[in-house]
Amino acid sequence: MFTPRGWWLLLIALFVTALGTVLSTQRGGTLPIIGLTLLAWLAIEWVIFQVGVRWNLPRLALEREVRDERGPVVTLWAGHSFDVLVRLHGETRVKLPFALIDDRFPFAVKRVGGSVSGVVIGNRAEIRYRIRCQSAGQIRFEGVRLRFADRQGFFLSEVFLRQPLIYPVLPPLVDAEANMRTDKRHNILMPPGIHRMRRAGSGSELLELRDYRPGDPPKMIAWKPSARRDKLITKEFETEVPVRCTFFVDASQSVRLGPPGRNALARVVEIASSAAQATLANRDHAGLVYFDEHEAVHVRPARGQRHLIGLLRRLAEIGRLPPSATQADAETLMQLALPLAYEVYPELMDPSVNSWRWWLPILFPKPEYLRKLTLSDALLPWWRRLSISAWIHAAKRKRLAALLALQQGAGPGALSLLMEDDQYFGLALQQFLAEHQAPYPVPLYNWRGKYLFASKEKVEVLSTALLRAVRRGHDNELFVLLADLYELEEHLEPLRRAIRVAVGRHHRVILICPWPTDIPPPGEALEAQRPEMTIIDRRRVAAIERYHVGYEAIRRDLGRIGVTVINAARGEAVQLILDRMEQLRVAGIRR
Amino acid sequence: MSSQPAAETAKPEQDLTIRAYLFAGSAGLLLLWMGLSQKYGTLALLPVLLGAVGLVSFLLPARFSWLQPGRMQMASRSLPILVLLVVIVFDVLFGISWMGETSLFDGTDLLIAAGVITYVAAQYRLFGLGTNVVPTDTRFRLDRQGGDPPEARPAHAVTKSEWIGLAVALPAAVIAAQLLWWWIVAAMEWPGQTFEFPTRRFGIPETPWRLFSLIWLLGVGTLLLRGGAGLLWAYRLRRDEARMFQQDVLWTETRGEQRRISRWLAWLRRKQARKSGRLA
Repeated sequence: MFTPRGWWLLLIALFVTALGTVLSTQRGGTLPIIGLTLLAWLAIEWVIFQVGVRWNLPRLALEREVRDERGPVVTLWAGHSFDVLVRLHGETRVKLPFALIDDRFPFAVKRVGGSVSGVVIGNRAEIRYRIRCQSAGQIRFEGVRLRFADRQGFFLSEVFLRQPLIYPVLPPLVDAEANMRTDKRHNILMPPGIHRMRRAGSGSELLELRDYRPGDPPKMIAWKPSARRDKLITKEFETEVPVRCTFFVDASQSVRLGPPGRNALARVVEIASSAAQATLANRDHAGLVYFDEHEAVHVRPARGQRHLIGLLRRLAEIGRLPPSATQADAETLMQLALPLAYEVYPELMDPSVNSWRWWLPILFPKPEYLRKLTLSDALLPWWRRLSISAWIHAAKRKRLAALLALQQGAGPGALSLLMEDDQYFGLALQQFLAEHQAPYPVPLYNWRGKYLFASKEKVEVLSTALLRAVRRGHDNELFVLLADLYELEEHLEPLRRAIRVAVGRHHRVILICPWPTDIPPPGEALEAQRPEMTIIDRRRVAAIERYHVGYEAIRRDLGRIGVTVINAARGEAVQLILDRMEQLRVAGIRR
Repeated sequence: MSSQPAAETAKPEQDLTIRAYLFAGSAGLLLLWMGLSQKYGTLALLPVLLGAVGLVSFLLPARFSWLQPGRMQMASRSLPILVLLVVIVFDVLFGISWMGETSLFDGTDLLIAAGVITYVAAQYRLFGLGTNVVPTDTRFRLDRQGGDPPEARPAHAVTKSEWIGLAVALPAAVIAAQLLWWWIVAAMEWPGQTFEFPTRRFGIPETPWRLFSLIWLLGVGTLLLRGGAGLLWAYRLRRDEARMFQQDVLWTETRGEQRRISRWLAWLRRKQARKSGRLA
């Protein structure tokens, strides 16, 4: 509440008053009167400040608007810029103290203009700035931070007006080159089903002539051949069906790793959205299956603008999924979650509502079986009880645990468990950081050195989903697998079986492997191990080699059964998908 | 801070506001000099000059960049405290008063108190306008490094009511201080009390009595203020704050049992994790 300036003046005033009172019998009342005057003035200012803040706070209202050139929007697009307008107002008779307003803009966007700060004047404030959405997903506006100060700078109060608003950020609309038109170029709007298939239907191209069967409509009778052969012959036309393409998007933990918006999942979503838009622009059908280690969600292939928007929304939802590990390092996560909690929930972290008993770590320290033992524990078992750092750490953890328990709505039982159980606390912290879209590290390897994100369950889920799509498929379809299968070479047999079934039914399968941005793509010269390299460099080079070897192994393995394997880093994934669709059409025309 | 054009248009307003506070500060120093010169003569100029240095740093025009007015203003932030310390030292070294044992009203004290408070208020408001009103926040943030820089108050945020408030608060503080001091030193006539010299009340010498009275006064005052603010705080609690408060109370009441149960559960989880190989 008091700023350093306020504390200094208060201490000086108290000192002057006390000293002056002691000396007052000899030296008169000059000093105590000066001190009391300062104290009385500080008290008056404090009361005015308190009433101004406390009285007005519940009456303040916050409005937020995200606009583009045409007006307010509720859906944003990746790669586009938008104006954010924040208005604060409150109708009250009591005057608000001097206040600064700061909008907390999301982690996933970049500010490209304007200021996120402003001054509240006359209980009103307006701030306007411009953001650029960098990748598909969601962005979350938390609210605004208000810092109240008196006019002298003696008191400071910080509150956060929370107004969480989530805006979906759809993947970028593809450019013209991806919208490949394949036929009937003179038509503005192509009819559905421009692709001829060798099946009888109601198209315009002749498929074959056959003998008349009772019930055939007279208009289908081919009169000239009938006259030549002296029997009724019926014309059969080709069917006109669209080519269907289904995207299998891997949303498992392994592709979520990395900075939000720049990880493998973001690239996968970008490819899927671009290809889906190009497919739907040709009035073909596009479907989506997204899967993780546990389940797959199917969106049936369809066409139309509404379906496209639905697909993009779903891709945006999965594009911002945060990674989570079952083994989280609670200490590291706490270092990240604590400033976020103090920034977004300052009043809930305040000791007035979130208290701490300083003697708890001394009387009831955490038992040895719930923490890592150190040498000092063995040598000086009592030292931990007297450690100031352990005391501060326990106080911080209690405050954070109380906030997490409140958010979970689980009450003091969860608070207590969060204070004692590191694993539960770590998972809750991951959830908290993910909910606020804050990036956080996840452990990649367990204590045995095993990669934590190689999930063979994912392969099972993908195989089942592929078989289901084959089962429900029409004609020859294109299945695009956007899946991370590294480190899973030994567990690919179910997927091989499913792909064989798909290929056996004349479908085509493409595998696009996500590729980390910091690893050179295949084909580029790799850095060799050199004697002068540090351990970290050696590890990095080894990891790159391992990635390349894994990719080549998958390419060889699945290439044998007719799957085209490319990596997402090459930038030609969308073109390849469109080429394959074109081949499917041509395959349908050839007889 | 706010956008750049607003800051540029606010420049003349800022000059006016700063001049007004400079005038108020100078008036305060004048009152202080008038009061102190009656007690310490020429020496009274020293605190006044110190205070004037703090004010002068705001008089420097921006074109005198070689003088670095901003840095001078920052450097002068401790001058109000220094002025008070000098007054303390003068009073301890040279302050002699025949009215020390009495509760008589001394006009000089009133003048000095009014001067000090006017100068201090004006000087700190100048700091708020010129250097910072919100201190530097060095707390670690996830989205930026170095925390928040200090923020000054823009001149267009200054309103007329601010001046009215100051004109009411300062005399109120001076009068309140006089009354409080009078309450502390006033010799109350108790039935059966006999005159003693030096003065004793209930057998307690005058100086400790005044000190106890002061402590009692400040303690009760603080309690009353805190109580009032606490009531207002409780009355205006937001929903999530109230829920947190209740959760905290419930945890405080049951923390012993909760701790035992939670530790047992945590131990069970660790044991299961060790068995499954997830933990070393």
